[in-house]
Amino acid sequence: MADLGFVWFGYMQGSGGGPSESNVSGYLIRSTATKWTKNSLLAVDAGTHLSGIIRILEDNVTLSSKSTSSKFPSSASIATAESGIFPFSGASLPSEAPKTNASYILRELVSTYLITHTHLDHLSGFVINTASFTQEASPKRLAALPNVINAIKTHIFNDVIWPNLSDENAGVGLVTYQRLSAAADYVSMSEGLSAQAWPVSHGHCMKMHTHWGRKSTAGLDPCSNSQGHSMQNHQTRWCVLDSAVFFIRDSATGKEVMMWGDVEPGSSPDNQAASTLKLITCRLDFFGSKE
Amino acid sequence: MWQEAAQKIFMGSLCSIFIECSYDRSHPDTALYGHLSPDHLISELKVLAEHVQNLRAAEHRERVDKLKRKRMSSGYFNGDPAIEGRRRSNPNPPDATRFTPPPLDRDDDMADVSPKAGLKSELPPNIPAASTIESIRPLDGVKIVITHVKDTLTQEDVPAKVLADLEELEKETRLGCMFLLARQGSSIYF
Repeated sequence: MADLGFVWFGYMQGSGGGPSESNVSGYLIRSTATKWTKNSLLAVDAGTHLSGIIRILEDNVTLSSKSTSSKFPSSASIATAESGIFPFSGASLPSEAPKTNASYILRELVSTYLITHTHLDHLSGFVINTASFTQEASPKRLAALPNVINAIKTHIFNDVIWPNLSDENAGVGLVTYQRLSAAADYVSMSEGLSAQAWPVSHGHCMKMHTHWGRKSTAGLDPCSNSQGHSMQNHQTRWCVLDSAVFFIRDSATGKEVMMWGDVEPGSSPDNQAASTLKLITCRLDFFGSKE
Repeated sequence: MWQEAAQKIFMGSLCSIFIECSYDRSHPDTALYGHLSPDHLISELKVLAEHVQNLRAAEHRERVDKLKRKRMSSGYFNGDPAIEGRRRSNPNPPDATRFTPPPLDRDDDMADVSPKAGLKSELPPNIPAASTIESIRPLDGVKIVITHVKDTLTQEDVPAKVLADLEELEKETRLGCMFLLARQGSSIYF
């Protein structure tokens, strides 16, 4: 709606669901009410991240080399390279070379990564891109619900899958974790933007599931209840993978966008009464009891 | 969750929802693996729409009651059908701008009423609130940005198919929201 003003842009580094690793979930958001600063861009998920930034800079190479003024569409719309709209207009990119500019954007303009859930298609870009993080800069902030942080801490930055680049467990401190409380106050994420996280279910784990909430017939042990999987119901021994929804608010206008991670259907053919809200209530119960 | 979102839509602060729709309608429910297909997304949005409608209906009832009480106490409301009829045709809504106008393809019996008047036919308390409220599509003005469409690695443009499926379902359900595709490399401004 035109009356909402030019508050946001969500810049799709990757917007697909695979299977190609070059186009999986990754978004950059900026409040256009603020000037470009070191903390302008918020990354929401980062399955595709740096390669997506490089790609858009290459696609916009004629625009990026001469574009210094901020130019935005006159109403809510999707802009592509063909439209002449360049999402990094006004960002004072240092070079003619797309890769150099992409490196600048990554190092200087993005400081926080807000992650919905731990699946690789929402996270792998961030992990691999850590190779360009430096000790001189402030650590990048990885913000997510506590179970997501714990899973990343245990299974990614563990000196096995990837070096422990975090500032916990004697890591090198290129990344700092921020554990968000579920459905709590909005937390400042980047210049002019704050976020609130809500937990949702992304389906049952492969070991126990079928996906409609049926009881498993396999009689297997449930997944260990520690790392991203959580027990949905101790009696029926299902477990689910948690995902998140973020409300992201622009401080200048109060306008918000809602960004979902992956999500399973809330109602099922087996159990029509299992509505979305019931499912979410269940998730909130879990968080309440864990903390 | 949807209740929270509905509150924000009702207040006018939530302008867009980025949500996944991984597959098109031909995809079987048994192989969703924790993802949504168009029918499931629409049923989620129906839950959201219902919450929005409930909030609008509640506000509507409250306003009617307030007005009624005010008139009763001031002696303004006399229940004369002729007077009430004139009042209905000449509304003066104090804050109708919060709502988007009823859709152009609304029922014919609404066609001679101006968009703003659509909300104010509540003035005679004997007209049920629901008839007016339901003429406003619940998610008018909300943009649903579709993400996470799985590529089938064929010539098929799956995202376009998903979008077409959703638009078809939207026509049936009249939710009022607009669907946009999050294509890689594009940007969206609100």
